[in-house]
Amino acid sequence: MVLVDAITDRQTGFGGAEESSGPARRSDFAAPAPKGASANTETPLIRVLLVLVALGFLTLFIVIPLVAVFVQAFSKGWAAYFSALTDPDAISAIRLTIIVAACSVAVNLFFGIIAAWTITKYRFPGKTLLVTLIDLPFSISPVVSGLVFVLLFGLQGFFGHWLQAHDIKILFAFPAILLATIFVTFPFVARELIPLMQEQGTSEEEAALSLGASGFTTFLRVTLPNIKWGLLYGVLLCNARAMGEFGAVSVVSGHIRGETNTMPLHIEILYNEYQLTAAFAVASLLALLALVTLVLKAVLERKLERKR
Amino acid sequence: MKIDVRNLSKRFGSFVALKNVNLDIASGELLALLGPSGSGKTTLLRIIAGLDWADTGDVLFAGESAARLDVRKRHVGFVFQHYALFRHMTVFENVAFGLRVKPRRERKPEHEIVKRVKKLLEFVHIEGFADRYPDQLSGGQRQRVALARALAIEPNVLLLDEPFGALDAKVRKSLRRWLRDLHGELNVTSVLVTHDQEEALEVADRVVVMGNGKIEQVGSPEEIYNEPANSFVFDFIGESVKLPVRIENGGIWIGSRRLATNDELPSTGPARLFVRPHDLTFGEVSEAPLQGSVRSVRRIGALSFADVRLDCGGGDDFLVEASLPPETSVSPGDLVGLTPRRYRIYEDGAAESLTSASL
Repeated sequence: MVLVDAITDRQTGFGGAEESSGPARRSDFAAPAPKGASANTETPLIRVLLVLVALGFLTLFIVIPLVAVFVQAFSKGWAAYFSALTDPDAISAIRLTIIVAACSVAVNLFFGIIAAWTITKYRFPGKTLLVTLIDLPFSISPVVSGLVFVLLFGLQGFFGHWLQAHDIKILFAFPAILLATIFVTFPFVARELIPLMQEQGTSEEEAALSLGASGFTTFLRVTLPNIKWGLLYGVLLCNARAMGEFGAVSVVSGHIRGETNTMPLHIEILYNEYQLTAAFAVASLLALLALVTLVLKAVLERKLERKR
Repeated sequence: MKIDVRNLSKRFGSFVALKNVNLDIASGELLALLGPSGSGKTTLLRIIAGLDWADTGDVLFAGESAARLDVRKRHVGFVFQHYALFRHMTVFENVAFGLRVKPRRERKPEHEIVKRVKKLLEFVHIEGFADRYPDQLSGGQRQRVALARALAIEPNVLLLDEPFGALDAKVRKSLRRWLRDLHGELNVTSVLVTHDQEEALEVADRVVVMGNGKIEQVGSPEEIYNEPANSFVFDFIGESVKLPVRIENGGIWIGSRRLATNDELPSTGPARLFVRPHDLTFGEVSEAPLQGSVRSVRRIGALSFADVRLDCGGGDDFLVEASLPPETSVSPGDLVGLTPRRYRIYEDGAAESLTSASL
C-alpha cells in the first residue's frame, strides 16, 4: 500500500526553465578541459624524460625523413633539381596528379555534401549501414580498393567484354585512376560534415523554408555558410590524400610513362631506376604539399574551433 | 485567417502522436495549445505549418485544403523554441531574409526592404542591435528578432513553438505580456504551443488542452480552470489534490465521514475527489469532513502552504498541500479540519465527472 501519495502536483510554471540561454552557453561546449587538472604527480625528471622520448620519436620518424627528402633532392644542386622536375614524364605525372585530384575533390565535394545532408537531415531505414559504408574506404587496404576496379573493368571482369566490344578504355587509363582515387578519398568530406551538420540540426533550414526560400536558396544561404569551414577542411584532407594516393592507383594505372603515371608512381619508377636525385626532387613536391596542408589544416582547425 | 483542422492523425513508428484531432481556429484569435510533453501539441503545430505531414486528415486555410501546399507556400510565420536565427547573418539580414528570397517579380526594391526591416526592428524594440550577430544577443532579444523575422513576410498565421521555453522566468513573464499586446495590435491569427499553463491561461483567448494525442478540452482560460471537462484537465491545470472516496447509500464518503449527501449519484463504489488546494478551508476538527495533522508550513513569496497529513480511513495516509488563508496561522503538529469548498468527483478510471459541488 502506498503510504504517502504526493498528491499535489506542481505543474505551474516552475518547470520548463531547463535551459538558460545566454551568449555564454555556446562557449561552454568549447571550453577546454581544465588544464593540469590531471594529477601532475610525476617528478620533474620523469616529465623531462617523457617529453624527450616523445620529441626523439618524432624527430626519428618524421623530421629526419622529411629533411632527408629535401637534402637528397638538392644533393646535385638546383640545376639537377629543376631538370628532374621539368622532365616531360615528370610534367605529365604532375599534370595527371593535379587533374585527378581536382576531379576527385569536386566529385567527393558534391557527393559528400549529399551524403552528409541525407544522413543528418532525414530519417530513413538503413541509415546506420550507410554511415558504416562511408567509412569503408578508410578501413580497407588501398590495394584491395584498386583490385575491385580490376575485377569490375578488367578483361576478365564483369564489364570487361562489354567495354572491349564498345572500345571503352577504363582500366590502365585515366578513368580507372580517377575512380580509384575517388573511392579512396570519399570519406573525407562526408566524415567532416556529418558531425557538424548533426550538431546544427535542421531548424535554421526549416526557418528559411517557412520564410519562403526554395530548397536551393536555403542550402546556399543558410546551410553552406554554416558548414563552410568544415567543408574546406574536408576538401583539404581529401586533396592531400588524392595527390598522394599510391596503392589503389598503382593497381589500376598500368604504369605507362608519360600517360598513366601519377606523381607517387613516377617517384617509384625513378627510384627503381636508381635515379635517386630525380625521385627525391619529385618527392619533395609531395612533401611540400604535406607541409602546406598541415599549415592550412591548423588555420582551419582554429576557425572551426571558434565557430563551435 | 481562419484555420480548420480536420480529422488529423499522425504516428511516428509505433508512437501515436495525434489521434483524429479536430479544431477550428478563428480568424484573429490567439490560441494556446497546452499539454504535457508527448501530448502532440508541437506535432499539431508543425503539421499546420507544413513542416510535418499528417498520415490522414486535412488542414484548411480559409476553407481551402492546404494538404498540397508545402511550408514555403503556406505563408506562415514560425517562431522556433530555440529561435533558429541564421547565425552567420546580422539581426538586420535575419529579418530581411524573407523579403530577399522572394521571387524577383514579387521582391520589393532594396530601399523598401531596408525601410520595412527598420520598422519591424523598431516594432520589437531592437532597433539598436541591427548590426549584431545572434550570438551577441540575450535570449529575450533573440526571440524578438525571431518574431520580427517571422512577421516580415506578413504571414497569414503566426505559429509559436514554446517561444519562451528557453528563457528565464522573469524575461518570460515580460515577453508574455508583450506578446499579448503585440497580438492586440496586429490581430494576426496566432497559435502558441506551451507546456506552461500559466503562460497559456494568461496570454491566450482560447486554450486547447491536449493529452496523449487528443484534445481534452477547448475553452476560454476561465472555463478551463473553473470547469475542467474531465479528470485529465483538472489534474493538469492548476494545483490539484486527489483523494479516494466511496459512493455509498446516497452519499460521498471519505473514510468514515460523510462529505455530502447526493441521491442522484448513479453508481456505488470507489471514486476520486478532485479539489484545488485553495478550495480546502481550514475548520473545526470535529465538523470538517477531512482531518489531519500539520506536518510543515511553507511560505512561497506571498503565499503560505501547509502540508497536512490526512487520515482517510483504511490505514492510508495522504499528504495534501493546502493553501493557508492570510489570517490563519497553524504550526506543525496541530490537528486541523479541512473542508473542500468546491470539488469534483470522478469515478475511478472514468474521465467524466459524476458530480461537482460548490459549498
